[in-house]
Order: sequence, then C-alpha cells, then structure tokens
Amino acid sequence: MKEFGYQIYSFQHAVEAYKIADILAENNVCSAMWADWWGFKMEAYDGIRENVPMVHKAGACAIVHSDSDLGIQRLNQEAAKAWADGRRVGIDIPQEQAWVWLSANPAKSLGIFDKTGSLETGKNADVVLWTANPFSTYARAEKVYIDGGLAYDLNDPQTWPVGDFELGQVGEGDSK
Amino acid sequence: MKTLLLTAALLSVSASAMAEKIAVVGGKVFTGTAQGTLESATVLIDNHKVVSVANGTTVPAGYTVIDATGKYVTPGLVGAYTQLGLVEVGMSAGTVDSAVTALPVSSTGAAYDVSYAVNPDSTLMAISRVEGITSAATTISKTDYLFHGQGAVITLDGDAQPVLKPRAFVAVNVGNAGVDDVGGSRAALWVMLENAIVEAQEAPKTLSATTEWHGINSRLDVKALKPVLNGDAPLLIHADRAADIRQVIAFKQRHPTIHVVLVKGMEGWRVADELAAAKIPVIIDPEFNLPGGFDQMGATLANAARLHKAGVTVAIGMETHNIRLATQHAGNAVAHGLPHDAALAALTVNPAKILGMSETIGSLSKGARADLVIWSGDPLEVTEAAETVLINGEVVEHTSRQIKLQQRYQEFADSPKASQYIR
Repeated sequence: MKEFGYQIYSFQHAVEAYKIADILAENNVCSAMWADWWGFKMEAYDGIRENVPMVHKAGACAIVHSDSDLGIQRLNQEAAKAWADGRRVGIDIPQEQAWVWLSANPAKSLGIFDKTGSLETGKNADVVLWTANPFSTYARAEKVYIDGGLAYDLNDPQTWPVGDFELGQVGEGDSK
Repeated sequence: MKTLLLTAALLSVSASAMAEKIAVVGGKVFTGTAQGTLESATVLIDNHKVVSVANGTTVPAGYTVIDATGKYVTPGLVGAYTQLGLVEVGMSAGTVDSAVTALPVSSTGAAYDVSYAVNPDSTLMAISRVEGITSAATTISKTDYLFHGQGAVITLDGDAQPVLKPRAFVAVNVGNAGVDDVGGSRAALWVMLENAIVEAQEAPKTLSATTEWHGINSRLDVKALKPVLNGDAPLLIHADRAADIRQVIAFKQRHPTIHVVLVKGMEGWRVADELAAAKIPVIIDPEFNLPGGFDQMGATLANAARLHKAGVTVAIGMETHNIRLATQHAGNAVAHGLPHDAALAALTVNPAKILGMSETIGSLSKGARADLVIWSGDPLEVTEAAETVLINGEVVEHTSRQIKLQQRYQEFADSPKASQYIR
C-alpha cells in the first residue's frame, strides 16, 4: 500500500486483525470482522470472540460483518455479542460507540459516510425503530426507513418484501 | 513411563473419589423436569450426580457453596446434532473424520462407527464447554452412502473417555443434499432406504462371516441397523420440504418400532399436526429462514414456534465449531413466538430425550450426571454468557485455545511496544 501509493479501505473477514490492531490503526485501514465465526479453514483457526472490540480499543476502524445471508438479517446481534465479549475481558465500550461497527464505520470504509451511516442533518434518512434495545436477542426491527421511505413495518405484512422468485411459491408473504 | 501411567491412574481415581459435594445456591433454575423453572433454588450435587433441586437457599452441612444469586442456572446444554470431536478444521488438507470414503465393510453406510474417531483433545471441546455445551450427539457429515454411519453421544469434559453412548443413532438424509449423493432422485433414494430397512429386518439376527449373504447392506450394515429396527437407536432423518416430511411420516407408519427423528425440517411447520400425531420429534436450526433450495421454499423463523404449538418436541442445535450459538438460535426462536421455557428445553432435555439419554443428561433430575451451567443472566440473550460450567459434578476450568489467544494479544497490546517474537 505504501510502496504503490494507494489506500486500502478495509480488510474483509480479518480474523487475525486483533494481532496487528496497532498497525491497522496507524495505517487507517478498517477491518470487517465476524463476531465469532472461526475454524472452517486454517486462515480462520485463530478467530476469537474479542476481535472486534480489541481492534476498536487499539483505535483502529472496526466493522462487524456477517458474510452470511442469515447473519446479515440480525447484524445487531453480531455487534451485541462482540460488545459483550469485549466487556467480559475488560474492554468497556459504551453501546452507542459500539453501534459504529455497523453504521458509521462500514459507511466510511465504503466511501459513503457523507450520505449515510449516522443521523446527521442533510444525510439520507436511513433510520430503524427497534422494538427494544437492539443489543437484545429479542429486539426486532419494527420500522425501517430507507432514504425517508418506509421500507418495512413489522406490524404491517403488506410491507414485507416478496421477491419475484417467491411469487406463487410456498411461503409467499409469510414472515421470515 | 510405567510409573507415569500408574501415577496418572491413581490421580484420576482419587480425583473422582474426591468429587466435591457442591451446592449451587440462589439461582433462577430451569430444571428440565416436572419442577419447571424455580425463581430462587438450590441444586445439590454429590458423587458426580444431581441429588436434588429445591426452592430456597438452605444448604445441608458438608457442601461447598457456589453462589448463583441473581443468575440463571440450567442443565448443561446438549448439542443436538454436531460433528464435535470428528473435525478440527473442515477445509484443511489433513484428515477430517467427519467425512467417510468407501470401504468394503459397508454398502449402505450404516456400519461406520464414529465412536472410534472422537478426539477429546480437539480445541472445539474446550471452546464449546466453557460456553455451556457439556454433551453432544456427533456423527459423520459427508459421505456418498445412504446412511451417515452410527453416531455417538459424547461428553465435552476433555476426559480420555469422551463417549457416553456409542452407536447411539443412525442418520440419513432424504432431502436434496442426500438425494444428490445417493441415486440423484427421490425415486431411487427412497427405494434404497425402504429396502435397506426391510432387508435388515428380514436378515437373521446374526450374520457370521461364513453365512452366505448377498444383500444391499453389508453384514455389518445389518448389524448396525438391528438396534434401529427395534427402537433402541433412533433414526435421524434429514428432510426439509413438506412432501419429504410426509414421506418420513409414512415411513414411520410402515415401521412403527423405529424411533424416527426429523432433522432440519425447514418446512416442518406445514406438517406440524401430522408430526405431532406421529410422535416424531425434530432437531432444527430455527435461523434457517431463507429458501436455499427448492426443497426449502417455506423456510421461516417461526418454524420452531409453530412446531411447538402443534405439540411437536423441538430440539435446537445444529452446528459444530459454533454449537455455542445454539442459545442465540433459540433466543431468536423465542423472538418469533417460541415460549422461553420451551426454548431452554430445546437446548437441554429435548435433545437428551431424542437421543434416549434423558436419565443421564439434559435435565437436573435426581441421579442425572451433574452437568450444569451458571449463566450471567438469561442464557438466550446474546449479551449474557456461561460463567461457571460443571461437567460430571466438577467445575470446568475456564480456559480454551481462544481464551489463551485473546489473553496473549491483550497482554501484548497492553505492554510497552516490543517488536520481538511473542512466545
């Protein structure tokens, strides 16, 4: 990166980011990490639950990711796990700061922080209303606004998305 | 060497002889028995076994007290369907005991026996047990055969003898994944399955090496299937689409002595009443809520709740490296309608029942193995964790390869910067 004069925005998966967190911080490179996936291949054998909070603590840009069509549906829980795992080893990060792992930091790493990733005047109105603290397993997204439009309402099945693929098939319109 | 072995043997004898009398006091206790959940109770443990669970905080003399006030206490979690002890890194180039290639001892796959293959020193054991998984069903995941061999029920205590029950069940996959490996069509697979079973039924009780035999099962396959036929070892059948599950129910009706268990069952909710009537329990991962194939179109996170409501026994926990996430999976089932106590049962007593082990594991019933977990709070909350784990009446050391990695790099980060090699 230094030799060829370009900037890496983020490392994806970054299972061992916690081992070089200080270097990531110095070089302003984000890491998009799982909360707890590990061991499926040798490169992921050293995965630990505290990866995200340890990278955050070192002052580097931490992102919680899923790389999964199931995990992405509940990315709040992935952040919650990483937050709690950090706290248990003495890395006490306020929840409102930990929330940057799935909002401001990924937006920055994608170069779209001027449009989304935080609730600031002039930005896209991408807003979620939760039924409870989103650091709880039981919290559900109740209302989801994308660019100001209501995209999903937990209490109104008419708003639940049905893809073309699902039309006329078993499960069409069912709660996911 | 001889002296060493002797010393080790003496040590293990004295350790078991001196197992402490332990009282876990004041926690909110999910018992997994008719006692239900007690708001503030005391669990007494003696000689590796549960002695009693009673309301209140009274402790008889002679017990070491572990204070669980303000905490949640459950039986140790039972991994309902895993490959624990058979795989370290699935995609590594080395040996993976959860995958089987062809050998002439078996024609249908039933004969393969994972009880020879379980490695108690696998790092997954400690990584899982410090998070509350104390025992598990484990079996082959990858095979080109009809049956996925004979699975075992194991303990995660790291002991030299991890197998609690060898040849505890036989598994088979009749969904797309199974069909793809066996015959390429349900029209082939089901004929194979039905005839493998009928043949094993009609075969003599023992087939010696000198008995003439030309079956589609090998001699050892027949031997492995006999306990399945009389209901001693459950037959775990993977199926997702409703039509496949109806075939599983019809199979059970043709073979009523077989203890049939449905595994994965993504569209189970569509045939929930029939499953309940046929007394077929299910093992699921409730998080599978997307149509990953044409046999999974009805997948929904409401599956667990709908099955439970219809009266089906539900177990939750299908993973290996992250079987520890079964609590999160169960919590999400609760967020989608499953009662909380039913979710805890799905992690403990229900898999134990399914595996025919309910007197030994999965509940805090009198005489059961003292596998118990003290949680920082609601076990199904992603922010809570197992704080103290007991297996077979002894407190498990809170360490694992992952914990040591974390500690090493935390120390490194906290120390003055040094560029030398860390050891």
